[in-house]
Amino acid sequence: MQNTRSRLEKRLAQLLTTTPPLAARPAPGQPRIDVVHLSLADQDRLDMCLRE
Amino acid sequence: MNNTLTIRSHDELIAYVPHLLGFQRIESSMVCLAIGGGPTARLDLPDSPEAMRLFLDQMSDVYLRRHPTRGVALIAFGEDGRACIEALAALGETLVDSDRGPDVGPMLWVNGEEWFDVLDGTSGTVDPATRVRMAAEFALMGRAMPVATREDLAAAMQGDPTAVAEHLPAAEARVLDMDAAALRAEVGWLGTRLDQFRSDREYLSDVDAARVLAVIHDSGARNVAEMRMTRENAPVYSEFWHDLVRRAPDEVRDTPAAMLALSSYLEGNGAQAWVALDQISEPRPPLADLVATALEQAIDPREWERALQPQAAGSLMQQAALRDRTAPERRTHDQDAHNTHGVDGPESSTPGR
Repeated sequence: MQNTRSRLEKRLAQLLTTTPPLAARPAPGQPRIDVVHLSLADQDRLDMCLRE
Repeated sequence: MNNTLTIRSHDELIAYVPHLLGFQRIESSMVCLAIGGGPTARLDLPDSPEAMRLFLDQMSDVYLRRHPTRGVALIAFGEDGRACIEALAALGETLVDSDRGPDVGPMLWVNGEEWFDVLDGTSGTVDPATRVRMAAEFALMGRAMPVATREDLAAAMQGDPTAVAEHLPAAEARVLDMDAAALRAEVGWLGTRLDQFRSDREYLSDVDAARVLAVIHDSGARNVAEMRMTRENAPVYSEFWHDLVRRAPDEVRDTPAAMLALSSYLEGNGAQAWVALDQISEPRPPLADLVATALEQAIDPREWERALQPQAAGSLMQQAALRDRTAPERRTHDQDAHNTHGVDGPESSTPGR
C-alpha cells in the first residue's frame, strides 16, 4: 500500500497539529486507554441516571 | 430507534458498562464515566508505583485536561480488592484535588457479580435479571450486543479469505492497467457501492470485495470512502469494513483495517478501533497512524467531523499555520514521520504498490 495521504487524511493531520499534546503517552507495550464517546442522547440518559 | 434505556441503581450502572465498551468480561480495569459530557474511559489497573503514575497521568489527561467535566463515576473491576481500592482512592484524590477537577461518585469496586460502594460502604449483587433487561433495552435501540472478551473483538476480525483471494489477482491487474479516467470511474463506482451498502446493508460479492480491495490503497479512493463517514453513519460503515477485514487476504488487509479503525473511532468505540489497528502490519498506512494518535490523545470524534467541513478545515489550517510560526516544536510525531504534503496535492495516487 502506498504511503500517500488522501485529502481528508491531510486535513486530519492538520487537526492533530492544532491539538496540544497530552502529558502521558504510553510506550509500546504499556496499557492503552479505551475511550468511548457517547452520542448526545446517550450522554443525556447517563447524566439523568447518575444525578438521581 | 426506541430510546428506553434507564439506569436507576448501582447494579444497573454496572450492567450498563459492557454495552458501552463492547465486551462483557472486564477484569483488572478502571472504568470512568463522565457526567455532564465527556468520554467513558477504560484503563488497566496499575500493578506497580511506576504504572500508578502513568495510570493517573493518563486519566488526568482525559478528565482534567482534554475533557473537563462536572462529575465522574469510578468503577474498578477485579478480584484484587486492595489493588482496586488503592486505584479508586488515588484516582479519586487526583481528580478532586485539582482546581478544575470534577465531583467524584459513586466509587465502586466490582468483583464478579458483587459490588461495594467505597464512599458510603453499601454493597450488593448485580441481579442477572438486570443484565438481561439491560441487554434487551440495548437490543431495542438496535445496538450490537457486546462480545464476551476484548480478545473476542480481535477474533471476530478473522475470517476466511479464500474466496476473495481467487478474484484478487484479476482485480489488481485491472486497476494497474487503468489510466486516470478509468481510475476516476472506478473511484466513482466505489462511492456508489458504499452508498448502496448504507441503504441495503448487503455485503459485497467476492468479485466486488476483490475490486474494492484492489483500489482502496489509492488515496483518491480512500478519500471517497472517508468523506462518506459521519459519526451518525459510522456504525454502518464499520459493518462494511469489518466484513472486508474478515475476507481480505493478508497482503491487502491493512487498508480495510485502517478504515475500520476510523469508522470505529468515529462511532466512539475506542476499544474496537484499537483492535482494528492491532490487525495492521508494519509499516502502518498513514491513516492508521492518524487514528492511533487521535485515540491516544482522546480527541472527540466530533472534532474530526468538524475538520471535514471546508470552512472548518480552512480555519484549522490557519490555526496550524499560526502555530507553525510560534511553536514549531508542537508538530506531532505523525507529521514528522510522514512528511505531510500540502492539502491541494493530487487527489489520487498512481495505482500500484
